Amino acid sequence: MSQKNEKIEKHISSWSVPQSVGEEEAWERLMKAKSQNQPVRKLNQEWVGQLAAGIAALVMIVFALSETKIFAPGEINHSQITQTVWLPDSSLVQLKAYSSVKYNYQRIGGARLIHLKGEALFKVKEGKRFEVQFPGGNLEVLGTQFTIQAYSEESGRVDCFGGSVKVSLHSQFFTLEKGQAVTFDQTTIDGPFNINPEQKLNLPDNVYHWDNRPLKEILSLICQRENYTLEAPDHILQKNFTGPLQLDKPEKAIGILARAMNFDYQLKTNKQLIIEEK
Amino acid sequence: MRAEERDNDWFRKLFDEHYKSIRNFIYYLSGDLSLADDVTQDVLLLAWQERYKIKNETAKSYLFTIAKNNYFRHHRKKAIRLNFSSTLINEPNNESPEFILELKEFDQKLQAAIAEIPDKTRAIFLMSRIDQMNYSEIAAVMQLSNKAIEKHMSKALQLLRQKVDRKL
Repeated sequence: MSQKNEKIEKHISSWSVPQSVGEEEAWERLMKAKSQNQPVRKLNQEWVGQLAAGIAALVMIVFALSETKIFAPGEINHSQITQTVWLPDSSLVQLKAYSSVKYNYQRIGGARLIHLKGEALFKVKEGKRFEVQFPGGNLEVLGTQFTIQAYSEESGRVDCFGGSVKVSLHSQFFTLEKGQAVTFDQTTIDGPFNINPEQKLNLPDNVYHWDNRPLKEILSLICQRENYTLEAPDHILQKNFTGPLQLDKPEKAIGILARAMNFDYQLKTNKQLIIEEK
Repeated sequence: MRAEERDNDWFRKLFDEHYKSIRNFIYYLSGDLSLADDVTQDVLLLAWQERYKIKNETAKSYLFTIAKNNYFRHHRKKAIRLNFSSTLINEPNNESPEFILELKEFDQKLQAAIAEIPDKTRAIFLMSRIDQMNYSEIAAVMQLSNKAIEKHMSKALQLLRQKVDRKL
């Protein structure tokens, strides 16, 4: 066996699959899931038909009621200044520039269902199920603080700052823990990767900080906020940027990026942003 | 011992013996820890529901079959990213920072190369190298012949050599 093969074999034998939860916690979760299963009981066949019909009717009534939702009026933020919205359950939504949120809860079960388009920071009060639907995916809250950037299905990002959230993107599920984020576009998912939650939470309004993230992510966010269309070569979009940017002055932000990452750009009157090689 | 206690003891034993290998198997296929946790839980719950039909001698093969079908029917991914922990990197013996850096770079390239190997071949290769399962054990759980496992192993090694050469 060559030296290279030996090196490969030795290296692979040092690997192990990382732990997400310990085996004991996995066992406890399994026990909890097992205990929620209803035991199967043998029924007197005479009653089976009547009982089945009764159950079916009951299920239909419950289903119809559970689909009934109580709607609260939606909020739309047309400005660049973040708007604070208190939901009826005392959860807080900081609605960022050009974003909208709608809130409703189910009559039965009390699940809280949110529709977001744009960007918002959520601080969720503990209680019934809290689910957010946004362009490109949805998430279920298992904890307290997180942001979603999803102005359209083209691209977006979810950051978790406290507790955890279960995100569904392209039929895949991710559990984001505190200090993790995931980005997505129409075909790919990047992450979960680590972030600094304290740094991100303490940024002033409209200031964003990226840590070694592709220009595609940053320029897509600027373009979605400002309704620009983006035209750029892939090799420039794949370059990574680290640093802060203030997005309430988008042209200035693009100018800073152009100088830092060494590209030229044109912003046409029809809101088309063209990025070119210098 | 009451029937309920006996069932519970059987289930705990099943969990202790097979939880890790099923979870690893799904991770080798998907590169997704959270999915590996979820699928393993689903597989074990199904085993609990079917407990009176499962024979101890075929339990492992049964669990792997359910796990494999569950993954390929509902969760199959086109591209995956692996992120194994390495004791060589995490527990270095007074090695220089340059050596550790080089080792990390090699580790990343090797993980990327393995992620590009076809699903089943990758899983079989990693069961052999990480879980230290012999060919007969792998053949039993994958419901393949020993010959087929040998073919998957040599295919994995051949692909790995090509891909690592290209990446290094």
